[in-house]
Amino acid sequence: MSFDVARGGYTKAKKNKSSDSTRHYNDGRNAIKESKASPATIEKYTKRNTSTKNLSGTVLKVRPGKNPSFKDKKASAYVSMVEKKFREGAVAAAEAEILDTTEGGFIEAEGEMERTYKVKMGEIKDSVDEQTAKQIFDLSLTDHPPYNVSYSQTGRHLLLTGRLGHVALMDALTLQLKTEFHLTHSGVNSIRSSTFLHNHQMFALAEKKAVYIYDHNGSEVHHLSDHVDPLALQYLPYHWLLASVGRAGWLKYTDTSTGEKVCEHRTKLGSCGVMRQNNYNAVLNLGHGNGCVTMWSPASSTPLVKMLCHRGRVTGLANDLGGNYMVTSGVDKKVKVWDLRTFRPVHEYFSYNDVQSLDISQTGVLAVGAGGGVTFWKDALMVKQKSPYLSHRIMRGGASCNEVRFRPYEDVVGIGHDKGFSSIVVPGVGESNFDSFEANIYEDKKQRQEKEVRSLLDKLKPEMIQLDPEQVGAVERDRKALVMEQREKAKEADANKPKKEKKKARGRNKISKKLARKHKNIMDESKLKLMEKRKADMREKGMGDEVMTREEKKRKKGLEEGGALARFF
Amino acid sequence: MKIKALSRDVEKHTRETSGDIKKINRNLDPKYKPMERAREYTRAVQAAKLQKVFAKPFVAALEGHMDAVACSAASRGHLCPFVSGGVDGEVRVWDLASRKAVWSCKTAHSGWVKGVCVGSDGGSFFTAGQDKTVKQWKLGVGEIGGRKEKGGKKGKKGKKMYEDDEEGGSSSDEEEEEEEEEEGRYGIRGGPTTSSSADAPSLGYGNNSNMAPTPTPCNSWLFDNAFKSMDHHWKEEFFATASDESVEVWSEHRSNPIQSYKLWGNDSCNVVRYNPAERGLLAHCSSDRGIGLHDTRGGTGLKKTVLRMRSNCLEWNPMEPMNFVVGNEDHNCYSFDMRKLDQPTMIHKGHVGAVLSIGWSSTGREFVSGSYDRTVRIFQSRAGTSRDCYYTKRMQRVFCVNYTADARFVVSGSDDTNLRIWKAKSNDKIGQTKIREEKSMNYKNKLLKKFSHMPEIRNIVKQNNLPKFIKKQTSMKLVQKEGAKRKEGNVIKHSKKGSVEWSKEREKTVVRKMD
Repeated sequence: MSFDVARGGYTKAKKNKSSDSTRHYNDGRNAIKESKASPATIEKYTKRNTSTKNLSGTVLKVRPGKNPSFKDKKASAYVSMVEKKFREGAVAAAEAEILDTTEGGFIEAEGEMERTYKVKMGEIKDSVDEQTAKQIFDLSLTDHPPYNVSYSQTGRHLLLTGRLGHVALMDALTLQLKTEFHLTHSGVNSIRSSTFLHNHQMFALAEKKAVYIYDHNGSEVHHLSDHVDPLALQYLPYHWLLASVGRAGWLKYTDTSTGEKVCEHRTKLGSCGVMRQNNYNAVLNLGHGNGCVTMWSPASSTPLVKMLCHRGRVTGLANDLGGNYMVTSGVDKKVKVWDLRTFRPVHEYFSYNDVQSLDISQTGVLAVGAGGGVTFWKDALMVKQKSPYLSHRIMRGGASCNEVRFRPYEDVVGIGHDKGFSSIVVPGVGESNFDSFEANIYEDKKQRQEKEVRSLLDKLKPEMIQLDPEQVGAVERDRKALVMEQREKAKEADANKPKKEKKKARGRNKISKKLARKHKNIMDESKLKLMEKRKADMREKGMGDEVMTREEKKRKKGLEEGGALARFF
Repeated sequence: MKIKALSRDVEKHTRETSGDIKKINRNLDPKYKPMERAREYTRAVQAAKLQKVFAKPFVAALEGHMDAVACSAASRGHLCPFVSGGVDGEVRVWDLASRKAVWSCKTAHSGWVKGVCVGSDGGSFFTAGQDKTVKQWKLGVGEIGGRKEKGGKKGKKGKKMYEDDEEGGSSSDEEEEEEEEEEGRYGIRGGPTTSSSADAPSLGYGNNSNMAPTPTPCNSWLFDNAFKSMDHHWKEEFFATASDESVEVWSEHRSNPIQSYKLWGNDSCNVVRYNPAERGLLAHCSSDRGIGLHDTRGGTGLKKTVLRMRSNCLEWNPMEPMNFVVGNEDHNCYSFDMRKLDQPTMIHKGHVGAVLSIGWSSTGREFVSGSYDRTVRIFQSRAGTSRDCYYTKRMQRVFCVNYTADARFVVSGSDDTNLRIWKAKSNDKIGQTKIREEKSMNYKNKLLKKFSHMPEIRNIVKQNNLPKFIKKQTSMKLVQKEGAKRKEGNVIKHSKKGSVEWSKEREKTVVRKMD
């Protein structure tokens, strides 16, 4: 009758075995198996660091529900739970693709003999709808060439800047000219680069003297006198940072929300005119005159990575959206693809003309602007392609390409050249589904204003820029332990190293003799004792004088001499 | 050659008229959400800051008691009624929603009211006093009359009710009850004179205070010793009292205790509490520093454990009924598993004065403690330090704390004669939230949890401005702790290796165990 305290006063509900076991093994893997979405699609939504596949391609074998890297049961269970959630989230996101009804473009060869790169722009214009066909046009602007092109983040607005001082802001959708003006104050050969800031309301121009910021009406709102003689501009939208690099080789960051200079780094590699950002981690990649590419973050005054990519000057640089690949071109007429996870070249292409400009579209199509034409390469990053996807010659009379840029979320490519500007349609280069919360193509004034406020609230600190963006908010490993581990590893590696053959010479170089020579003149305690003892022994044996040291003998002789002369002995 | 280019229908992505909701399009590909973790982290920092900006825990002070509030009880099953007893013998019933006293009795007991609790059916409440009596008072649980009108032609509500009360004063119990029901009024029913009270001006009978006779209890029990604490059974019609020499179990229908325990010597018990789940299990604290369990069905004592100092209060976790927390004289709260009384499962630190009272949240995840150091602290059931600390300039020693049944508010009664209502979460919004607001709050909370290990966020969350007195005491305690640690270290250093080891704090808590 007595109350059973030891068992907690209540009987445990019997575990339902079947339900328990299903819960145990339902760690999200089943969901992947059962999902209607293809594994490749699910993989797309799986985060890079949570993927069980590591770089070498081996798959880590993890028993469901157990994580081998944790001793603590609770921590292990928690991590398993989180991983399960990630997997389920990836499956749900993949399945939600069904809701994306806008289809992307494509060019498909129907027969075996057909080649997509033989398709001319005229053919494309004939076969696409009217609205898209309007995007194929050439602007002949011969007064201020060559032209630079930049699109806003939504792809809605287009900024054309002629090197000799012509600026035009256009609505890329309706093709209306929003504002146009000519620069007179900074002289000839003035505009080197241009970029939109957080939205199309403001843009920055790299002019000869400094970087200037203009608003959408064309009035100058800021003059960043710190950025002297800039050649390239980049805007980091999530950090609200405007970066420039110029003839002196100084990389300078300015916070566009506060107007303050964040930092300036000396590249020590001379004049630099090639700068692109890695969208994945907001690291700036600079291409230098000696063939090096350096990667920079405001937090570090030395480059995070410095890699020799080309023999001779780097002429073009582009990053893919996922942050895995970088493509560079140099005066050695090579276009090289690099894996940014290993910093190793994947493969390289050869170009007959000097490459002027590179760009990679949202879907991973590489555009190479060289000489008077632009070639497009599909799936060319992971695998080496034999022929381009499409090739295009700029204008009829022939023009030299200056800058090629993909328009985000559209199958449109803008080409700035020395005779003006060309807009062409390349099917399959634009992302069909945009995210209204990231880049809303059709945003109205209110939405634009709200977005501005939100992105200001979410503004990232400049220090957060690092090669692995997933490191932010992660737990740092104990430095000491890390160093110890590295040392252990080094030791192990050293132990496995084949030992150097010893040079064996008999005689003088014997180690014991070396040591003996070294210790010959050292007078330590034991030696003194030994000497004392020896002396005492000698005295006992009655060999008084022989035991005396040289000084003692001298003194004795002096004493024998006697008188004032004694001190000279 | 098949050629197709991407082409969007503008109308599909834009709204037709300005009255329509804006159309949104999603793309969940992580490629288009770069640096997501950094952005989430930034939002988490903001959320932590906002949490502190909106931390306004104090809701209201309930005035009315003429002397310190000694004990209080919330109904276990209902939201509204809240009963408090004063040091001068006054008992008050409060309507927490309107923050007003709805009933009071100045001379409920002579001397301290030592224990109040609401009966298992919620229809009555019990008070135990130092005057060796336990009294049962009827408690009406229904709608609150002062704020809700029924019927069309009531006219002036206050006046009408005043008339009702006068009638009630002269009518019999049953009639009064019917009247009350009809009115839908919340208050005291039963005793012929209960509803007219000296201190309920809000209900419109303040002027009549001299005329109204004192309310009388519907039952009372007399005993030989002064009571120290009482608790009602969670489901049945029993209640237990602790007195100077023993623990008694009473039936509501008997005039004498049905059981009396004098276990483990003649030390007086100061707290007694029924287990919420096990019908016959009682826990008590005694002045010999002990915590004991006994079984009323067998009439036997089960276990007893003696701590270093006396425990002032004991409360069972309502959701994990094998666990309980005691508030100790040594400024700490100790969580115990009743199966393992040899050491506490957790020591909750933070107070710099004796802990006088504890109240569990109905979720069983958090409890609130009131202390002699004039602060109220909220602890998570498995955390060693408090989540939050509440104080005001005017709040004196806190004698009683309670959670409301919805776990959203905390009520504290203190030496300064006031009851205070606090929010359980200091940044909680009172009032209705929009769905968007709620979603945003949930998102922020999730982010805070995700990044709670980050020093920047942890520092913001932990930051708490405390009175100088508390800060000083805390730092002093820290110095003492360091000193003790150093001393122990010295002993270990100068002893033979392995003969003396660091003592564990939890093991030091329990001095003696008895079965």
